[in-house]
Amino acid sequence: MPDSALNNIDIKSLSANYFELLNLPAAFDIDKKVLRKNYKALMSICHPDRFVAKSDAEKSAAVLATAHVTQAFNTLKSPPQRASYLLELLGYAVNFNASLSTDTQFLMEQLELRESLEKLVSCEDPDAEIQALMDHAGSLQTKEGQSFQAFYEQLSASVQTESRESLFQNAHDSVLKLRFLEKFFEEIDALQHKLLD
Amino acid sequence: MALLQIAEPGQSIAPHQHKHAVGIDLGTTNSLVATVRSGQSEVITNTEGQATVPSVVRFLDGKELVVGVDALRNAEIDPENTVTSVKRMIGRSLDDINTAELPYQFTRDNPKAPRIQTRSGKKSPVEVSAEILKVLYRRSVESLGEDIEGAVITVPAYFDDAQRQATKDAAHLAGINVLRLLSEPTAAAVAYGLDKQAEGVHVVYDLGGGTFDVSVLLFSKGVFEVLATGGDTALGGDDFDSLIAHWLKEQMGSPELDSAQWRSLLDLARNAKETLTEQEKVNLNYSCGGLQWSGALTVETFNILVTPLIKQTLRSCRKVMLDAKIGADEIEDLVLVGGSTRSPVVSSIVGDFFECEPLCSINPDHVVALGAALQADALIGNRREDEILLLDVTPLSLGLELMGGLVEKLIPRNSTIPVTRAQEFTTYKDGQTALALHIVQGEREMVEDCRSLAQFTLRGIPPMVAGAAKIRVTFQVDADGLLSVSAKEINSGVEAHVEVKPSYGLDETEVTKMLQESFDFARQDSEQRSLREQQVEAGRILESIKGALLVDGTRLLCNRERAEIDTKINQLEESMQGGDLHAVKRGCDELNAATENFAAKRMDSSISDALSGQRVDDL
Repeated sequence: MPDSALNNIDIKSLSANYFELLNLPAAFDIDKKVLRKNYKALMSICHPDRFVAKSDAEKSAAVLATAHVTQAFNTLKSPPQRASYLLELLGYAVNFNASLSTDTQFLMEQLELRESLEKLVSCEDPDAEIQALMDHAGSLQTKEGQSFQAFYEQLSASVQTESRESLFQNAHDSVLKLRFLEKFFEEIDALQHKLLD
Repeated sequence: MALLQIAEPGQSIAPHQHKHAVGIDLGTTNSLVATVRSGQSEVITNTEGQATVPSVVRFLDGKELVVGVDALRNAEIDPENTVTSVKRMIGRSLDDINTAELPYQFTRDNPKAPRIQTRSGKKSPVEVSAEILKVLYRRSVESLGEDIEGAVITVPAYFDDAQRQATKDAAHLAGINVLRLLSEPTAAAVAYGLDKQAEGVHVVYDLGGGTFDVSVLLFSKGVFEVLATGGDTALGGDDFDSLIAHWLKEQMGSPELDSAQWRSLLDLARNAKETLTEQEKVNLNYSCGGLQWSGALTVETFNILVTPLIKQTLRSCRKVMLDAKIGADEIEDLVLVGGSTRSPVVSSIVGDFFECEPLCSINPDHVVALGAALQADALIGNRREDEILLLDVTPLSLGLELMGGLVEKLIPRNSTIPVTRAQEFTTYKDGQTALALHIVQGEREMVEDCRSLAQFTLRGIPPMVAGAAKIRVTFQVDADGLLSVSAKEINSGVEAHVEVKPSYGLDETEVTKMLQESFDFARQDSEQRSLREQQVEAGRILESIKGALLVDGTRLLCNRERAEIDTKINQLEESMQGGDLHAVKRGCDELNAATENFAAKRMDSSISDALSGQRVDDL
């Protein structure tokens, strides 16, 4: 489907923000089950399979709507993407290439996680170790999510420019930490695959 | 849990229904076609009552060829001109094909698109596959009549982009309208028509002649969602045969075998394997090209020989469970598909692994085609009441080469399709005006370990300092799992745009050339054929738009918009009376353009209704 064909089509309900589209409150803490359920309900309506025998205009609308709904779902599913999107809705842009402002405690945790991952390859019962490591990273993720939610709430309520600046900096750091943890889970995943080769 | 056939008594078929579609299982060893008649899926047999067609094509003198049983019968005496297991070669480069074990002469001028040298010329795997598809389609036309809307063709879930594109091109070459490419395990799951009351996780283990696929699906509220898929495109029952043949050769004292003798030994091995699904021991007699041997193979020896291969499939199963984030205790059902799962040793090892009693109530050779037929029937709109939706995934990650040969993944494996993903890149040198993009598929970090899909260069970037250009690369995977990539330079209003479709070494002009050369085309007046196709297309569009106007025309359109669409409808109907292909084509395009806004409003209205519906639920 050429890009140009899609550009002509304007489906108004898709200009709703991702939270509205998937019928969830705009917050970091969301119900994943409801997210999935609502995503599938939307896909049942707009999936191209429903338009195979229809006109090209309707097929294009289906492709556009499906891609948009899936993009919304994928964004809300991922913790750092969801957090970044919440900041975007407040008018802030997250730079995923930026480096963390100094947070020695988190730096230490990063190093520890990496070391444990490297040790895994040579250990006797990697499955048990992997589980423990995933649990640990999972608890860090929960904690970081809570910090983000707190910064985000303060940021949305705050009116003073100065405090907004520092709150955004904190929230931004928090997104980067969530991003690190997401990547870390991906690395564990890759390692598990490698162990099976 | 109990599984039901999808067709239910409530599913009465309107008497005026004439629409037909077929499902085709284009297999490594055998192929077959199925359809839905009166709400029931059934395989279409030939006049002798045979359902399967051996996936074998033999090229004879001149332009003649035979497909199926007749070709298979002569495989031994004419191995160089008889192509078997072409599915292992489709969409693959010469490096991927195990040429040493095959009796064919491959052309080496384009290693990315190898062709087989036969007595009737060079044949690409796409052309060979098209011949098999033509036989199946002819059979469908004989059984159902000319007005078949199209076909759903199944591919292994693990087929990469090139293999999918090549399969679609083969269908195109055979003159088939492809409604959808569907993953084989997903098709099998549909055929089993999972019970709507008992929802849950299902594993489909599909060991065919040449490929192995495993998928984890979640069925819930009418949606089949593939959670993860994996497998091995180069592992199947043929490898069982090969192992047995090697063992037999050893028993014979490891003589030198020519290609006919080896082929004959492979046949003996396959027969032995098939007999051992029902017997404890098989007596074997070999006689070919002056070589004689007799002996026996017991099921114990067979099991010892093939167990390593089955274990190899279990590694893929473990990976898929990891990706799906599912434990064996969460699995409701295990579905076995593919002829190779007939061997009791397979079902026993696999059943133990998944801690499940395997389901195999539908013939494992038919189940994929039957599922494809059900999906084809649903896609052309014959099934309204119990609509199900299939959400499939990409089997492999898709990405771009970065500096230093690293891969940046844009779309990770097991992403639900269709999917679009855009990412911004930049230049690394001052004044750089072009950017080379290399698209790859695979899980590894380095480019050389992944499959190269396409390369193209974006030119016309205005000169800027390094890092200032913003190049937005968009990957789009459609519902068939096919990728297209576009790149745009967005800066100071300057835009460049390139679109690329990855292929398997044959570009579009080559495919078109093959189409023209295909003798079915030569026989017919191709202009006449195009006109008829365009008229059918116009009829389809008119029917769809008139139906939409009836439902939503008054509600969503103002008088002016309505009048404009009506004018275009009249114009198209008029041009359909005439014999001008271009006029009909133009009429279709104009009507499509005139209804874009209407289509968007209808989609908008459906989504809005769904959103407000959910809100009511939540209160």
